[in-house]
Amino acid sequence: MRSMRKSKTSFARFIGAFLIAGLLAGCSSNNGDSAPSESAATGSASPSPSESAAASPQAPSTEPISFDMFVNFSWYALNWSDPAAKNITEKTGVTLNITKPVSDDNQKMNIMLSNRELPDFVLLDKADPALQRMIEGEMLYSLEELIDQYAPEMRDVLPKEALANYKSSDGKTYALVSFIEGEQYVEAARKYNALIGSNQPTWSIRQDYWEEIGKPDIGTPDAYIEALEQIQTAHKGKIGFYTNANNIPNAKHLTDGGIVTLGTSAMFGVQALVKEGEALKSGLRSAEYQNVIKFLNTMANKGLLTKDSYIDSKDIFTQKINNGDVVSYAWTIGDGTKVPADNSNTAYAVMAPFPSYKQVRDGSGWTAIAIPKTNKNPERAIQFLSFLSSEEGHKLTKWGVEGDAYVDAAQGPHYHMVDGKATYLPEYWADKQKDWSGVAEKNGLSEYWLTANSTWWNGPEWDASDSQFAEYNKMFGDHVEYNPSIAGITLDSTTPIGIVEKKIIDLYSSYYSKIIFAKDESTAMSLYAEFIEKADKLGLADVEQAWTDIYKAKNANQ
Amino acid sequence: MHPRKIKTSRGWDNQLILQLMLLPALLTLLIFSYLPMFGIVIAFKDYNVLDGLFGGAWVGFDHFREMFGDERFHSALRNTLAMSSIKLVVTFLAPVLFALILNELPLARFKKWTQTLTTLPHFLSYVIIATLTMIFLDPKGIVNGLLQSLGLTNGPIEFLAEPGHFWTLGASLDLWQETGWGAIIYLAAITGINTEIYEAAKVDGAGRLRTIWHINLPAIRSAIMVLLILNIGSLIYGGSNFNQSYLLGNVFNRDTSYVLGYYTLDNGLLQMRYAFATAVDLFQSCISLVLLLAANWTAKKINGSNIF
Repeated sequence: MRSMRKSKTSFARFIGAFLIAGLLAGCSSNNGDSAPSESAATGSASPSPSESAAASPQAPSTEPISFDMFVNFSWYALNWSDPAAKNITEKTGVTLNITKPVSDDNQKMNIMLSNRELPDFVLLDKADPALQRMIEGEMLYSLEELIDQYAPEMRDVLPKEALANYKSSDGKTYALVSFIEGEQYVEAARKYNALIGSNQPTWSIRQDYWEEIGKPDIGTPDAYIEALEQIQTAHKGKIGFYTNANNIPNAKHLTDGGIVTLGTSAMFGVQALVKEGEALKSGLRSAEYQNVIKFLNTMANKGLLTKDSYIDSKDIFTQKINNGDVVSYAWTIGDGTKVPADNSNTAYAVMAPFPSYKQVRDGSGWTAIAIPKTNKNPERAIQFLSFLSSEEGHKLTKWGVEGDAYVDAAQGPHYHMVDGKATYLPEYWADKQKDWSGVAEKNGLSEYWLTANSTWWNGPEWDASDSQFAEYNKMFGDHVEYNPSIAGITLDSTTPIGIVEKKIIDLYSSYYSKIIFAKDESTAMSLYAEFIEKADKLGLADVEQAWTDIYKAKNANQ
Repeated sequence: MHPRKIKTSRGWDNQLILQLMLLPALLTLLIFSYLPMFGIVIAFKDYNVLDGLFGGAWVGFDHFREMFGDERFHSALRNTLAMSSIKLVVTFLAPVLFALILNELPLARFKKWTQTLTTLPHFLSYVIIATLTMIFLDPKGIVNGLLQSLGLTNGPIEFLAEPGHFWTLGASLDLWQETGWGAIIYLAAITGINTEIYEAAKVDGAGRLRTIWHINLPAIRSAIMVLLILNIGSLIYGGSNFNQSYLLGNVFNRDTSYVLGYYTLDNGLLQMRYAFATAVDLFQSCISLVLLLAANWTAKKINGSNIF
């Protein structure tokens, strides 16, 4: 009995000791984790490169080095273990340790910021507020400083906009932006009929229905409405015009395109920002915007537009189109030719643009990569980015192996030269489009776009002999404009003016559905006037002034 | 050596081990529940991520003033309280009834199946529930088709586009999702009743309803009270309110679907205004605490079955 009790006690002791040991281990492993980041943090105190001896322009080192890179996109799939990554490591000696957040809410990013513990590279959306925080907190190297010191050749390689259009208020550039569509790009894209790609926003119409009524002209809003009415008399249950605009109340800024287009994409040429003399005004005041709401209101009152467009999630939107439940819809060229499930002999066709169709691209690119001052070797870091930005770098990250006899996606060859331009072998490009992510896993191409130069990146995909896209470029090419000066005009949401902007967005969210579905046009327009009056009271004019100030400051910097 | 002394020292020895085993749980509570509470200070500060919790200037009650002066906050507060109250009324007693009925089912296998099937919805992700809801309640969806073919309605009912339907919809979804799950605790309490009591009741000539009234209900009364108090305490957070608002809310039903959880997310977290989000949440916590204490106090006054 006694021995049993004794053994019980010792068992309990053992369990207790075990639990405590576990707890301590938990703590100590925590310490272990934070050790390297501490050393990284002290790295920030190391002399800035300008203080160190001026580097002589010798060949960059290819000693093995490993950099930690934080990619602020939860969906980013690759981890530097594929053939493309191996080739880059062979050439540069650099290995990337890629980490990413679990969800896209900036939680992890903010924790890193508040601890001031950044990795060697940070890759994020160029408009991510975290980038501004890092710049304000003086946590980043400026590109100019590093390039002049260690990689002067980079100036000849980057699109000229990269170091001109993204300056901070101190005149320095703190992040390298990818996918800039600058002068060089636009010229090349026009040459290869590639200005209009599969992501061009368009409207589509169901061909069998359109043919039933004799394929009348639908090139203007009035003709289009008339045709839809005719079709709907024969096909009662179908939605006349369908778009996916359920997300407008979640817009972060009044400058988001969806606010003014209300799901009509580029058809009415309405822009979020309108330049009036030297000032920027909200597109909500423009005549184009009023055309949009008049058109939508007419459509709604004729029963051609239903509330579905402003409620349905993207999944349901896709499903209804695939079912053939709609007569016409707004989407893109790539998704504009779907085959409805109830008639496999027909398909939707991309509609020609209305005369008012206008798309203004700012060509300002997508992601930005920054080098924090905690970087363990800024010299090698900038040289690495310099290599990736070069044509040579694009061969390894995008083009693949040169040759003519295609074996498979992993081995290549992937491209050959046509008239001096790298062009994908049609077999490879077909495989790639069939299974984008599957092929990416095999060869790693098309995924390491941290410094992508749109001309070299998109170039291999361009095929001037594709008659379909030649046609689309003819249809839409003249309706596309580039205007980089309006890029990046967004207000900081945490400032008083940012709060005003958010209030106006919320006010708008309580108005636009009432405007669209008002019982007639005059009611719609008086609701619109009421909205503008209330928005002005909240401070729309101040928001516009803030935009104008940013605009002026930006353009003075360039 | 005095025998008694040995006993106490051994008792202490045992106690020490047992207390140490409790330590990890206490530390976890301290680290993850109490220490973070310190973060509440940012509700009174001009907080910036870079400055951390200790940086930033004190702004007193500025965030609260902004909150109370904001029309959207008032509409969110109204919607939250209305939706939670409707849900409390509609869904609170359902699990009790369901448990009592389930307990009376004669076929054990049928009972098990029913219980499994009604518990399942609780484990579905709300994104799935919302998508299914949208598909079924579409103007051309299955529910409207059924209603129209039965001649119950003329045109389709716009369940999601009509602000007047949102609260009922929310409560119905809760009823469907949580009734089976909520019944588990009551079923457990009923199962624990000594069978001799039933036999005694039978001998005394009690029928089914009488047995339920005099034996089953009193057995679960304390569980009902505890859950009621907790439910009242969380009225201002309102369980599924946020999910429903975020996933089923749209521009048409915004007047009734905009709740506090959404307000906090939309104007606080998504705008990176963490201090403001903290202020709104602190307000909710305070109201919640008051409600909880009031409900507890009332329960104590009425029949003595309070939590603390």
